[in-house]
Amino acid sequence: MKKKINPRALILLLALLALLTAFPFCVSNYIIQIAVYCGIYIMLAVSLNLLVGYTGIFSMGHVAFFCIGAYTSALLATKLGIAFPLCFIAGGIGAAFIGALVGFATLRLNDIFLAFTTMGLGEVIRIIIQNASFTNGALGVAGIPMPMLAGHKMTRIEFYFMVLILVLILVYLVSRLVHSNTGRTLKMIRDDANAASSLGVNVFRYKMTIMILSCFVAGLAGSLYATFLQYINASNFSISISINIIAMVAIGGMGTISGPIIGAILLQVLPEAIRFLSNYRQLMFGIALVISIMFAPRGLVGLNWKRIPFIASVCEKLKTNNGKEI
Amino acid sequence: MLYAEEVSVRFGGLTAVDRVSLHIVPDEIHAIIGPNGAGKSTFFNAISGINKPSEGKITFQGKDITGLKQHQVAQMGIGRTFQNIKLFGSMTVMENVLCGYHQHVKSGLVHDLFGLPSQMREEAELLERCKELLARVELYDKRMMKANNLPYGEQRKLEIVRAMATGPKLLMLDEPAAGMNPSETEELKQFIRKINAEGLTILLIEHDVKMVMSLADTITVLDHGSKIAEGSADEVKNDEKVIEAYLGKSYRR
Repeated sequence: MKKKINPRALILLLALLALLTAFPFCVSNYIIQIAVYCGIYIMLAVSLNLLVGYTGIFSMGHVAFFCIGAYTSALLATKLGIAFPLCFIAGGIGAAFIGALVGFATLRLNDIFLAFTTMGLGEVIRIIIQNASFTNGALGVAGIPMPMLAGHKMTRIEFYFMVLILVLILVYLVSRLVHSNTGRTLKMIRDDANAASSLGVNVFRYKMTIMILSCFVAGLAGSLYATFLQYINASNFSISISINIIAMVAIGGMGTISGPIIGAILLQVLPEAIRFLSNYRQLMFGIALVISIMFAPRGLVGLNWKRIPFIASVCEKLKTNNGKEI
Repeated sequence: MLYAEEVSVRFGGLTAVDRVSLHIVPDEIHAIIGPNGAGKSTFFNAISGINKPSEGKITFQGKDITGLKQHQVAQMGIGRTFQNIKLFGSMTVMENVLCGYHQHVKSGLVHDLFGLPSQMREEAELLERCKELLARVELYDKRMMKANNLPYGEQRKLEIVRAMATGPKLLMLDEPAAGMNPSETEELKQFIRKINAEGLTILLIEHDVKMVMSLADTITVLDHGSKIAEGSADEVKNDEKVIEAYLGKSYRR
């Protein structure tokens, strides 16, 4: 069945793209930096959402895979002088590999047990990296080179576009995935793993697959982070990052495509806007999380926005001549 | 079709199922009845792979399925429903049935990620088959409803239809009439008859003795984990041990 593309929605999408393309040329370096972080956190939130939102695997150690990706990429680039694209992929593969090991050990657990085990493992991985000699221990890795592009070092704007393109590709692929048989299977496992296996679903295999995929994406994000920051340190990857990512997914809306994106942007931009409160940043995240769980358990995306007349009328306009229901 | 030989299930020192043998012939409706705690559900779960039998052997269509995992048993062609309905609550009726087709889907992760044409085609085909099935069981009009919003009787039905979508040769129903009113039970009975007539062998556990008597070709009676009787409805009805198990010794003729 061919889906009809609504012309109005298409225009909206193109306008958004144009905005995203034009905006780095009009703002300061600082804003571009925030935008890049937004992109990196979108990747993290989207990948965690695959676990938490779609499969019901409550991982609290997602930062560990971000960290492994960052370190793999950074060490390959600084110690062996390997070019960025390879470091980037290696970051993903490294994280996916560790993710597979962690998954193998933990994915038989459920709910709170899984949450605590992954949280513990995440800390263990960080502490190992902080104390191992090949990772420069507590000194961190400095002097990570910017990627080369057409014979010169990438500028921040170019880096921004690279992240933008990667995020767009990621979001497209993930939205394909969750609307396919694989996505349906993940939701089955989330809703009722027992019923899923009575229909012939190898639950453990699917959980492993999505764990590896999610960690791969987190690793890629880590590589981007290390490269953009040019310096990483194990203390950048504390447990609070895991909690921030969870907050992004939960506040935006678990198990939706747009939720984690909105959540990531919001929680990345908001603290910059209220910088005078920076000492209370973690507190703010905590409060935001509690409020969203109390008043918007399905996240911002899950709220009934159509109660607001303006939004309702826009939705109506977008919906007209949309393809009929299946 | 399905042979269970001397199957026992023990939990620590407790023997829930004690050397029960069972033979299901193709195309029959076979019922397991028994008082509460007789080990019916445990026996059921031993076949479908939720608990492993401690002893004994289960073969299905000549293949040994003893101790296989639940999804492997399902892949052999045994579908099942649960005593407490286990629908996928966040999904629509249609999606629930689509889930049933899981093991027939060929496209894997890579196909799904990139939306290759073969995957798109397969998904469209699946949708057609699903609609056909829904039309056949008269749930088509409700296909866009959230599964949880269906009336109770239809939730049951949907669970059975979802299991049918896996393309089973044997369908196991765990207390399908539990919690139903008489008219819903009657409808369910007709429905079970209908799918049985279409060539599906059925094994069911049931508390509603009236329903079982009028529905089942063969009835196996369990009590305290052991098989105490087996036969047609009339045979079982007049069996001394069965009367004793259900009504007590004083009612023995």
